[in-house]
Amino acid sequence: MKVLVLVKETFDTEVKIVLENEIISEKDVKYIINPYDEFAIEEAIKIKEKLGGEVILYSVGREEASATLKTGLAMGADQANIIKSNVKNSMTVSQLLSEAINKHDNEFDLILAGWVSIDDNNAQVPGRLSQLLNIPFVNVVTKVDVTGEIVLCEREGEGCQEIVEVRIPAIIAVQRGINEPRYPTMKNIMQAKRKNVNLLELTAPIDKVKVSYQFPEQKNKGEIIDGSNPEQAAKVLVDRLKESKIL
Amino acid sequence: MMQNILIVVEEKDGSLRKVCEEMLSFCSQYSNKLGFKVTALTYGNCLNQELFNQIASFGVGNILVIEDHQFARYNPELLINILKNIINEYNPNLILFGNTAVGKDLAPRLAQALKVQMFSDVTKIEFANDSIKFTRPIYGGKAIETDELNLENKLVLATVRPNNLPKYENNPAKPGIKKLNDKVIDNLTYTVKEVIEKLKLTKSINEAEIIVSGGRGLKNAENFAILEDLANTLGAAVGASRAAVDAGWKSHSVQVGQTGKTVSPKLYIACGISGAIQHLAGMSTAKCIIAINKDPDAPILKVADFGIVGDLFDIVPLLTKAFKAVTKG
Ligand SMILES: Cc1cc2nc3c(=O)[nH]c(=O)nc-3n(C[C@H](O)[C@H](O)[C@H](O)COP(=O)(O)OP(=O)(O)OC[C@H]3O[C@@H](n4cnc5c(N)ncnc54)[C@H](O)[C@@H]3O)c2cc1C
Repeated sequence: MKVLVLVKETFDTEVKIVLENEIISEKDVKYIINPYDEFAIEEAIKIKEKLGGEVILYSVGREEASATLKTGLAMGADQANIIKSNVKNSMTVSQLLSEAINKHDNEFDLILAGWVSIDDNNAQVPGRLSQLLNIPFVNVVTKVDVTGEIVLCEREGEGCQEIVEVRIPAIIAVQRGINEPRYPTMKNIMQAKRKNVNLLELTAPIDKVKVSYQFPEQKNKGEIIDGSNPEQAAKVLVDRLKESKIL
Repeated sequence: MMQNILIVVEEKDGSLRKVCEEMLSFCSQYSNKLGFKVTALTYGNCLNQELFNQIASFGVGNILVIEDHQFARYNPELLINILKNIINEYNPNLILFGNTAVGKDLAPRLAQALKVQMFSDVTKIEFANDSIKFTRPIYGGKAIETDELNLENKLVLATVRPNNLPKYENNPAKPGIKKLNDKVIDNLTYTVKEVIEKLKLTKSINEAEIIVSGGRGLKNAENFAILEDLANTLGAAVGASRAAVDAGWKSHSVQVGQTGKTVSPKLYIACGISGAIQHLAGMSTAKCIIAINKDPDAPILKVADFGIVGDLFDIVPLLTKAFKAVTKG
């Protein structure tokens, strides 16, 4: 099995956003692997442990992302490819990934990814890539089972769980709940140092979207109600909600 | 210039999804002012007139209908093929989906099949002369992204977050239904083997107007009963923090936050939740936030519109009682 995993580097969830001229500053930011992509890496390694083969990480981003991707290598991935680019647009990112995969790993069996990225909340790349590579795609998956050519997935539908079957090659985008990502041991981390992170250079097409960033509107400061007399507090709250027409 | 908007409408148990009502009402309002056409598209295995009347009541009379027994189960591959044909024929400039389980899955595939841009989970849409502008919260609501795109007769897709587009009083239209007989393909590579319905007993938090959420402060699964009581009184759904989900007190499908659901209800009541940044990421766009917490320094109280500092086990039942009195009176 050759499993590719799409991995995005995101700001650590605790990072405070700083804007400079309506652009999000990347100065002194601490990065992590998008938590949903971590589930995808874990699942890929589990598949490798069961069926053999290799796991290759693919990321579009900064050259320095290699440090972040080392976590994935320490978890058990075999190598990583970074397509060096500062593009953010999902359509462009998908095009870059499709080009790189076609060039370097077009005999893959599976592509795994997180279904959404916690930074830009776009949730587009896996779906788009499936169209570009013309392979089936199962989204928001909470369980994967590979037997021979057949991939059986359990996914979150609208108020239901769906069991979906596709054949390899396919793309699977995973949801939280599918597994618990392992913590690399010291030995794994040392081994990861010797694994390859390759830099790929590709030219990105230009998109025509004008993007700017702002802060959300500041809300008025809230009112704190003393709860030492619970009966009174409950009454005050209900009155306030009536006054402000929320009820 | 915006000329033609197509809204992909979803129904649930024979009624329009709320976010679909919001999209219809919003577009219909601006179609009169700005002179563009709005068309609704519905698909299903047995659609009824009642649904078409509901759509028309928001001022959208042009309704495209595709009916096929294969739509009994959601299959994206099936729908993409049909949608592609319809779009080639109707030439919309904008296609809107609700940011629902279906919209999230379908829209990115369709956007790439048509090789066009798409904007996910938008909370605001602005039409200008020859361009369109979308607003969407990113970084879990810590920042806002504004995307502007020149239309130049091109097409763009968006999924819309529930509870955000303003709803207007629309003049009802007369439903004009056009049934499409597109051939539904059958050599699919994506097969839905089985659908396991979740218990209908639990109200979904996705589109709920009111959510009562509980965290580690609840102490165990049984104590969630006091939140259920409050929720039932308010017609609300029950959500949870990750701590409560990890402890096994609630299912992951109701987790609110960065690695759970993002919700925008009118009212969010957080009980025994500290307000970690990852939790706020999922609910900071709620119109009104109430927090009940015994720690006066809990971060949730900083974002709350109303905070009660006290013991939730005392306060929540009394709150339920007080709300009951209001809804009765
Ligand atoms: C990558 C990542 C992703 C994450 N994703 C999510 C996510 O999606 N959603 C999420 O919620 N968290 C998420 N978290 C976890 C988050 O950081 C917090 O750990 C979690 O939200 C804490 O849950 P809590 O508020 O219920 O518990 P605590 O932080 O333990 O807070 C419990 C609160 O209850 C109050 N309390 C206790 N007893 C009472 C009482 N009797 N009456 C009133 N108040 C009481 C306490 O004062 C305290 O404020 C994530 C973390 C990481 C690192």
